Amino acid sequence: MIMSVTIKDFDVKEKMQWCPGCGNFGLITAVKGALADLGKKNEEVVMVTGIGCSGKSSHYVNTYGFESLHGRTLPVASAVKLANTDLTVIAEGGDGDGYGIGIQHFIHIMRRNYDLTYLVHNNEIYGLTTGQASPTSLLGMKTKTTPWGVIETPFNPILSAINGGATYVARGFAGEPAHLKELIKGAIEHKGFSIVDIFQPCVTFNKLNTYEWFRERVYKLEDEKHDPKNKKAALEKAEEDTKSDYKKCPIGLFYKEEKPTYEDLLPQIKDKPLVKHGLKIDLSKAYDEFM
Amino acid sequence: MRAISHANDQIDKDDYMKLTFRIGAQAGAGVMVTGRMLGKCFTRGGYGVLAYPEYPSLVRGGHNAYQIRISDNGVSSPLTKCDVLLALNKDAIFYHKDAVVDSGIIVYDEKIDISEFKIKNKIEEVALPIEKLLKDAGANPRMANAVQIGAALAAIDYPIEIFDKVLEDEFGRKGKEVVKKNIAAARAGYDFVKSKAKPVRDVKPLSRKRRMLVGGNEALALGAVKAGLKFYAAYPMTPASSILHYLFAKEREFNIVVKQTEDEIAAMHYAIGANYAGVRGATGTSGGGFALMTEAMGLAGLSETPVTVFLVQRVGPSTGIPTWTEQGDIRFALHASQGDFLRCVIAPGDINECFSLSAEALNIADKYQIPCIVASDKFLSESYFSTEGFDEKSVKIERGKIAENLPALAPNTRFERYKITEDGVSPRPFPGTKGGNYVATSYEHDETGFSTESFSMRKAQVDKRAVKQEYLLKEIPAPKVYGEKNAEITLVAWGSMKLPALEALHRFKQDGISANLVHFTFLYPLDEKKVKSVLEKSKHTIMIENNSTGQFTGMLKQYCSWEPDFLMLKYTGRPFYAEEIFEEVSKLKKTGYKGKKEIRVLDKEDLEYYNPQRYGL
Repeated sequence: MIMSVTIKDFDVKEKMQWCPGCGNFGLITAVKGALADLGKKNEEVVMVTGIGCSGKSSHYVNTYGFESLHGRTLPVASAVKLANTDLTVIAEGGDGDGYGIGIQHFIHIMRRNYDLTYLVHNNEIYGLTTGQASPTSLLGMKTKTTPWGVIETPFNPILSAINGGATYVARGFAGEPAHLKELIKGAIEHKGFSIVDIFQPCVTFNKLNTYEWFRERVYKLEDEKHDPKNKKAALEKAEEDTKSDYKKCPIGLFYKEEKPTYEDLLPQIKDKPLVKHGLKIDLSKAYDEFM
Repeated sequence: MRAISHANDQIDKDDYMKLTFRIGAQAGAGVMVTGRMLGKCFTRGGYGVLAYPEYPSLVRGGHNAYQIRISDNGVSSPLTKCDVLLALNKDAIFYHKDAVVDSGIIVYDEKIDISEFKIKNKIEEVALPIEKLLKDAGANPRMANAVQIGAALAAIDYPIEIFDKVLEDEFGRKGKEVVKKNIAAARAGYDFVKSKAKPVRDVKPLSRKRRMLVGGNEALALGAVKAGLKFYAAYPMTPASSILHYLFAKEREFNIVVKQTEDEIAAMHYAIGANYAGVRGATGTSGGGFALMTEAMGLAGLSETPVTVFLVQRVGPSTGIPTWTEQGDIRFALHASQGDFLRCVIAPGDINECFSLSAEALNIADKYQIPCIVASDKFLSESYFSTEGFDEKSVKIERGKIAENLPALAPNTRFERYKITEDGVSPRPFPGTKGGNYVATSYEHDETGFSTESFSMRKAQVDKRAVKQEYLLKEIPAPKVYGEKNAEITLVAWGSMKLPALEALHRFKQDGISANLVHFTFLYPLDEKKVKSVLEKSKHTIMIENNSTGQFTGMLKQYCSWEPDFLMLKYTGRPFYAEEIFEEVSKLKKTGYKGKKEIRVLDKEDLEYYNPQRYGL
């Protein structure tokens, strides 16, 4: 008899210590739900996180996990995938983590199209460090480090992801966990680098981008029959929030493309994952060139 | 943990053949290829060879030089003098004419006007009509190095047939015609010099097994691969890049994955990620790149993830002098990253140690679940050395405590990856292992990896990680003694300074001075008892370090309460020459060992390769 996997299998005994009402609760429920729906076993999933409120996620989902350093989720996750292609690898970080200190990894991972999923807890603020401006903080927003309002143009992750070569680009809202779960499932099932940027309200430090603020603005791309294969349309949708002066913030799947993954192009790991290779090697042939 | 060396053979022998070539040319003229091929002619004849390149950080312009030291013994280090100078441009004459010994020879391109240089009468000069010889031989200008090597071999009366074979092996894949033309070019150079000058030396192949000529970085790579390295991630940086190049070239043959990353921050995190996932992974860089890796050093330390880092030192701080050598990053390696955590620092001293200690580093990293740094330097890593072969039998793959075949976990619980154990090492499951799920973390944690700020758990986890040092120290050998047991003079060195120090011992022997060398390959952690048991017997101790502050001397003082009588430092960008060590120590001996405690050495040949223009060239 095959035991079906339930969302409870991914629970941990420890209490999730986020602020009451934090967007991370909805987000993590969606992640666990997606893993359960896809029938993933605890041991075949690796959750790699960075540092920040999002970084704690790897502790709250009962799979293998690696809470690495601030901004470094992607290089760690990339290597885990290269080392063992049998694993389902999910990297999670925040907007400060992924679009700030770790942005160089984000730009380069998109060129590589590793088969892994990147979930970004985007709350437009630095939470754990108590409320400084983040790369996605909106213009004019007052924070501890922008007392006169943000004067830097916010980073547009969706636009950058489509342009950068990500092959599955979506945005979800932690206030819509059922919808978010479907986007995450699609991301995990997608063969290639998938990113889901997630509106995740920080109830303590971001008094601008609240649940209400998002609810008034978000709409689902699928409701407008957006075709995720249409790159031009996707790019337009990616700028809709800024161009509409945040009257309309689309969520859903913006763009999807089929492309060989980085791993597909490595004959060394075609037959079996690197971790399953034997370690003994005969070097006698290699010595020839030195003779 | 055996260091292999043929050093004792050398010291025991009273005199041995010494021969040095210098090849000088403009940067980009292919000196490196010429040097390696010439070196191979001698390893195939059973000789010991050291081919040491010197070049500025320029792709074109500037001056490049290759020193090729030949001896009928195992090890060698560069010498300040040369017997044969192969000058491919005017600069080469300027830079190296004073290094040529009396009865030496300068073979130069006939296009060079050497009339403006004063060259000692006793030195033979041959103007080589390279262009004409190439044309007559039906060869193309790219084959000029074959002409030059042929000419160099004629100058010492070495059989040209050996070079024919080298060319066949080098160019065989490009077709018979290319080989034929190269051989014709080589023969033309050889015959021309023979017709113009008597050989200045008579060198014949030895009747013993041919040796290999391997670069330090290649040996590091090979040692790691032999020990099961399956993943290497790095960002290009001189002088570590050739590890990356070599492993990329061999990626499919060795069935490994090599990744060029966006920066060294990523490279180190990739290496850690691969090790976490159960694959033996490493990274490599020089000081500047290692600066970017420091945050992840701490990640490996706290998450107890094994990782091996090749730290190939060059002149610092900052950009420093990128293509020259120094042993200046060892304190940095020791202290990189915040907080207290154990790491192991190893520094190979010769080509065979590059292979065996690189393999050993992977074992140490895995067994103790710590970062292990293999500290080489430009001199050791970018030079080519002869070896009779690597000691593959000494390479054992030891993965340490791996958790496999685990019982099922109770629902919603995790495996105790960070269980407190007597030796501080707790079994680690690779992701994918049923019943093993846990969180590896940069945060202080409880036994399952869950974040904690409990005082008692914090203390217990710190102690757990620290206690590994006791066990690691048990495995670490005492420094090795070369030369006489009870010597008047004891040189103390670490890493690559073994090479000039051994050469210096030979000079002492020739002069009837009793001397030995205490050499460290395991730099950290240090065992006071083992170190003292070796060093306390010494009479007059002289520490040799290729840096400006005596970094390792400070470590010996701190961790072993031991200090040398004298500290000899060189930090010009060049390694120590054996002659420099010999001269300075001889001076000390004359004064009854009452000289200044600190000796700072400057090269006699004070010429820079970066700006030939400043000499009107």
